[in-house]
Parts: sequence; structure tokens; C-alpha cells
Amino acid sequence: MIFSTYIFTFVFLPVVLILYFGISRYVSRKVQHLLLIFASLVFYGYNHISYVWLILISISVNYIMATGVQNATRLLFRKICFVTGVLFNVCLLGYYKYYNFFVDNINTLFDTHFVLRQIILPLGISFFTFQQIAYLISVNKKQEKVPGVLDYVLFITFFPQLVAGPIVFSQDVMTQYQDDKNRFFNTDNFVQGLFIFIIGLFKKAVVADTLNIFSSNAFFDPGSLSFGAAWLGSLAYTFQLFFDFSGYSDMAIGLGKMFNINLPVNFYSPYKSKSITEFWKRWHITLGRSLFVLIYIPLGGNRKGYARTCFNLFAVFFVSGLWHGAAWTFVLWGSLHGLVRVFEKIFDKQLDKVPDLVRIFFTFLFVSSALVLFRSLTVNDALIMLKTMYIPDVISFNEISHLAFNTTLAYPDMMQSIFVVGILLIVSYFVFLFPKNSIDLYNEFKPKPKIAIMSAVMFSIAVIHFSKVGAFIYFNF
Amino acid sequence: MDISGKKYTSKGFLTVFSISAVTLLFIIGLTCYVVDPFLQFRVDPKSRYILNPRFVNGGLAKNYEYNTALIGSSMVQSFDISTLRNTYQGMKPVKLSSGGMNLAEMELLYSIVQEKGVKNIIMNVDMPFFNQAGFVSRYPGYLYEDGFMNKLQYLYSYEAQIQYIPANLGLELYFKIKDGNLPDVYKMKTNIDQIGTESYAKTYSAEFVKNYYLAGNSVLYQHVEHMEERMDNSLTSFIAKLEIDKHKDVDYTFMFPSYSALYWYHTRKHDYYSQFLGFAAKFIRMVEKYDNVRVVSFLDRNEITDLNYYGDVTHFSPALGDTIMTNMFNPKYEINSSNVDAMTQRVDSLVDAFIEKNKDWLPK
Repeated sequence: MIFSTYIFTFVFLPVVLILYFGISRYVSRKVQHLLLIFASLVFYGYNHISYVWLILISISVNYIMATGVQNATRLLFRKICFVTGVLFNVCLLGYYKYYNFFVDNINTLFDTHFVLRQIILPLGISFFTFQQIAYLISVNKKQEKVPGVLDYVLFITFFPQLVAGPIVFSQDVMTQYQDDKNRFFNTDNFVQGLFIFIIGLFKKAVVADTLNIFSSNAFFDPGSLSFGAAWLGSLAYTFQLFFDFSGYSDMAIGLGKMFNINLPVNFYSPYKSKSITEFWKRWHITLGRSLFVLIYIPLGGNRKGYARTCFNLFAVFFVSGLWHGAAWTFVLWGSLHGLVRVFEKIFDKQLDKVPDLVRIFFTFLFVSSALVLFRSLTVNDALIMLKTMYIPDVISFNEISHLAFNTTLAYPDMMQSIFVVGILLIVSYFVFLFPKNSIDLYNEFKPKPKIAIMSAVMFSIAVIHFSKVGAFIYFNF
Repeated sequence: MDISGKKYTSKGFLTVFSISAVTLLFIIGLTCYVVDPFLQFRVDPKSRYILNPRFVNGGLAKNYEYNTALIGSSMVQSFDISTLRNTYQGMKPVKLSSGGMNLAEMELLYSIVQEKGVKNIIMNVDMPFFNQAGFVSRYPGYLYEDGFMNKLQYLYSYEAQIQYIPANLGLELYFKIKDGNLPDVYKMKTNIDQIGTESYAKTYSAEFVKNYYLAGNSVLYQHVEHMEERMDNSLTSFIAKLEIDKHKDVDYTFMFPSYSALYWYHTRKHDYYSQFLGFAAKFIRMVEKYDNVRVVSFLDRNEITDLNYYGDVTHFSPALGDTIMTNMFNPKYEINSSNVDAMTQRVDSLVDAFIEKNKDWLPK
């Protein structure tokens, strides 16, 4: 199920909220959790019911292994449980996400003809697998205790964060799930959650999905783009991805808050970053945190010398690329980020002397250009687009109007060009110049009537965009 | 964070939000209801709306005042349906066409027309669409099916609210400023009689069509393998779904349009000429048992050899469209099992003559 749909907004969410809080005075916390788990599985299986069993198996195996790790009296048994749990998760992800990528590359490399399988990527598998590996690690390090089975299942399946994060650690939420006062309706929390949910809804349904028109047209045939259209298409995707995913995260945070659960922040004005290092502290923050725990620390972190630290940093970004998708475009994208991260580590002091505005500009330029790889279907397509952007045969601003092409209604070329440039300017203003981001607005929220009216306006506009919204980009990862 | 100030309360916020949201959504819905860009509640022939067939065909079929419906693909899109009205006294026709209309979409429109109780139905038989398997309607369902939820979806649909209402209101204003003195393209795009026509963007000339074809632009690709079986199955299923025997009071006219000789040449080159040309005879065999069915063929009109009547390999000009409409009920063009072979032979001769005359440029 997708947040920005009629079925979720007008049916699923109100029904779950009413039932969850409606029964709070008559039943125990466990029954309420059971209801929330059931609702989360309905949410998960709404489009592809066939994979509900997969998430249930994944949760069961992880819970058993985590219990084994915790209760083992012998070190060997503890290690076996831990390694089995981690391997199980890696194999699950490996099969569903990377099997075809692996076989395809074997075929190319050795001229073999192994048959590719038709595997549908289970929704959110990268998210709940990472979440569970991180959990196993923390149990293995005795930082966590295995909770009751219902609390654990809810920790993984809680629908606001189930399919696209934020990637939640047990310590973020477990005590909140177990806190008895959180199971009763709290108007203040509900209103504050509603506020950021609407901001996220607007970001996704109105902004990101409008930008999607431009980026889809641009990336459909990169070879046909003019210099101007290539730059604007790349820019459109850069903004689209941010509004899409940060919108989703805002909605998740808002939904969590409605249920009295504080989920961690995932985005904080990433395009205002002065470096790639800072960028990853503001962009998909919970992924960065997970990779730190799952990759960087096990590889030795910064404890094994300068060169090894640089290698570990690069490895984190390489894995980040692979995590995003089983394709060379993602691997290259992650590796480029890794190289720049290592470069910043080496030239940290020199870079500090560069004026902030210059650093922000070049960081954004790098992020935006690297996203061309992220969005393109093949490396070749990405190179064609990047060549048009950086070493064009002719500097031309023709065909910008084509970015706004749609099969439903065609406006005159001039109007379409103004539309494309106008939208990108407005979006740029909100990304770079608007003093507060959605998290600031959420944190400083006061239930003023004018904010209520503004929220209603944004909600109404978002609702009329529901009929065209696409799936969240990060559902694919 | 302090959200429990004395002046502002969360309950107050919820109240203001709820009232504002309901009011706004009501106004938004009301605007769509009043403007009605996809004709879901009423059709005012005088209003100047941009008419995209995919979005308005459903509303037109349900709410327009007509007693004759012409349903068909892009082959009839260049028709100015007023020709039928002017030719046949008392006829109130409507054209329900869209580019690439497949059989599922034809059946959907037919069901609406049937429900409305229309007694005179003309259906264009565009053969390439009988060679498709597994086709489904690509029309937005909420504009074609009844029900409260569909109407609600329409009132708050992106296409209506964000795309067409601003465009239609802007166009109305433009018409007023220009006092109706507008370029033909706008007149055609907003004229119900010419709905879907692209004649303003077409060049009807033999030279253009020749260059167009030689540049590699041909026709919808046809799968030749198992074509005959596929077309037979489509035909059987299509006729069965019309349930002609249940609607004995309805007059059906099935029309074979005038494909260009260049088109027939292309089918010969790609080995499906005989399947297509023989399809008319199969069609007749399938429907001749019904007393209320006529089949008319314009396949063998002499104009098919003159590419000046065409805008591309298949689509003919409004001029030829007018001729076809004028003769829609002319017995001379009716075909049945006794004259269908003669008709196909005439097509054959015309195509042969065309190939002979144009052999210097037709690809070998």
C-alpha cells in the first residue's frame, strides 16, 4: 500500500487509528500490538500478498537466532546462532535482490548461459533485512535484550517504517512500544503527526510526482536531449528523489507520531551540505547509521590506521551503492561517493579553507551529476547524458518544453518551457533558500489556526494529485 | 517544544483543519462539477472544451443527445460527423473514436451506447485490432463506469483538476477575447462533431505519404504467426459480446474503411495480405444470420490508389471521410456473401494497378 493513495489516507489509516485507540481502554497492550501487526501485514501484503510469508519467515528466523544468541551459555553456540542469523539475512537479500545481477555478470564474463529467474523484489526487503542484521549485532554485543515476540514483530513490521524506512534500531523504538501510556490517544501527538504527514504528502504527491514528469521525459531518451534539457532533466531528478524520499520519511514520522511513536529523522536539508561527508549526515541518515554499524565498525572503523580507515570508508559507500540496486549504475554511483568521501578525508584541512557557498555549490553539483548514474537504466545512457551536460557538441536550450510532455494534454511549447523552468525555480527556492525544512517545522510546531488552514490547503491539493501518483522511488530498494 | 499554549490547542487545530479541508474539498469538487471538463454530468454543445477522446468519450456516450453512434479507431477520427447529420434527416449522430481503439475499448463504449438505448450503431472494423490477443481497455475506468466512487474520483482527479479545468477556463477566456475568431486548430479541438481529429496537423499529399513511408514509417506491427487463428478468435468473441440477437430493435452497421493501396502493398510485403483481405468474407459469414445487421465496405473505393487522399499509410483525409459518411447507408456499398468476393477482387485489382504505377519508388 502507498501512503499517498485514497485507500490509505481515507480508509486504512482512519480505520486502524480508530480501532487501535478505540480498544485501548478495554484490552491489554499486547492485543493492541496484535492489531497493529495485523494492520501492518495487511498494509504490506495489499499489493503483493505472496510475500507476507517471506517477511514472517524472516522475522521468525531472526527472532529465534537472536534468542539463541542471547540465551546461549556456550560461546560456540552463541557464535553459530549469530553467524547463522546474519548469513540467513544475507542469503535472503542476495537471492531476491542480487541473484539475477550475479548470474547476468557471470554469463557476460564467462560467456555462459545460465538462465535468469523471474524474481519479484519483495517490498522493503533491504530495509527490514538491514534492520534485523543490526539488531542481531546489538544482541550479540549484549547491547540489547530480546523482547517479547509481539514487541519484536511490531518492531519490524510497524507499517509507517516497514517498506522504506527510516531504518529503525531497537533502541529507537522498543521502549516506546513498551511504554503503557503510548497506547492511549494523544491529541497533541496526533495533531503534530498529522501536520508533518501532510507536509510529506504534499512533497511526494505534488512536488515529486510533478518533477517525475520532467525527469521521466529526460531519461527516456538521453541521446535526444539538448544541453539545457539535459541539465534541467538532471536537476529535476535530483529534486524529485529528495522530495519523494524525504516526503515518504516525513509521512512515516508523522504516522509514527500519531501512534505516539517517535521515529528517527531521515533527512535534514541535504542539498545545503558543504561536503559529501556532511551530505551523508543529512541524507538517508538512518541508512548511513546502519552502514556504520554493519560495515564500517566490523571492518575496523578508524582503529586500524589511516589507509585502512580510507578503505573502510570507501567500502561503506560501495555497499551503499549495491544496497540501492543490483546494477552497475548503482555500484558506480556508490563508488563515486566513496572516492569523494576518501578525498575529503585526505584533504579535510585544505577543504575547510574553501568558502562555504563554493563548497555547497560543488557538493550539490557532484550529488546531482552522480544521480544521473542512479537514475539511468545503463551506464552508457548515463554517460551520454553526462557528456551532453559537461562536454556538449552545441550549447543549446532547445526542447526544454519536451520535459513537460504528457500524452494527456499538450500546451504550446513556450508555456511548457516556462512551466519547467518555473517549477524548478520554485523548488530550488524551497530547497536552498527557505529558512526551515520540514523537520524544523515539525519540531517547532504550534497548533495555530493559520497553520491548520495551510495544512488543509496542502492536504486538498495533495488529494487531487492522488490519481496520478506513482510508487515511491525507494520502494525499489 | 510547547504545544500546550493557552491560546492554541490541538483540538482547536483539528477543528479548524477539518472545517477548512472539508470546505476546500467541497469547493474543489464543486468546481469540477460545474465546469465538468470530461462531460460526466452534462454536455453543452455550445461550450468550448478541449476534447480528448480518451477522457470525454465516456461522458459523451452517456450524456450527449444522439440517436446514432459511430464507434471506431483512428480510421474514423478525421470524420466531421456533422456530414451524417446533414445527409440523413433526423439523424443525431455522435462519434466515439480514439486513436488505437482496441476491441475492449470498442466493447466498453458499445456497452454504454447500448445501455442508453440507442437504436442505430455504426462500428468501424479496423482489422489490425482483431489481430491482438489479451487486449484490455486503457481508458480511465472512473470515466466510463458508473458509481459514486467513480464520480468522486472524477471530481478530484488530477487530469480534471490540474490539467483540463485550467486549460478549459483559459480557452473560454481566449475565445471571448478573440470573439470566436480563432485558428482552426482550436476550433477543431473543441468541436464535438470533429472530436479527436488531427487533420489540422496532417499533410494530405501523395508526395508526403511516399516520403513518410520511405523514411520507415509504416503501420502498427502485426504478428503474422497464428494470425488467422487469432483474428478468428477475436472476431468470434467480439460478435458474441455484442449480443446482437438480444437487441433486435437496434440497427447495426459494420463498416470496413478505405485503407490506402500503399497499406495493402505493405500487407503483401509482410505476408498478411490474404488474411486481411479475406477477413471481410469471414466477418460477413459471422453476422449474416442477423436481420438487423448491415456490412458496408469502402475498401474498394478508387480513391485508395490516390495517396493525395491520405495523411499517412492508412489514415485518409476528411474529404474521403465525407464521401464515406455520405454513402454510409447507400446500398451500393453493402456487402454480403454473394458480392464479397467481387469486392475483394476489386481491391486486388486496385492494389495491382497501384503497384504497377508506383513501382519506381516502392521498396522491392
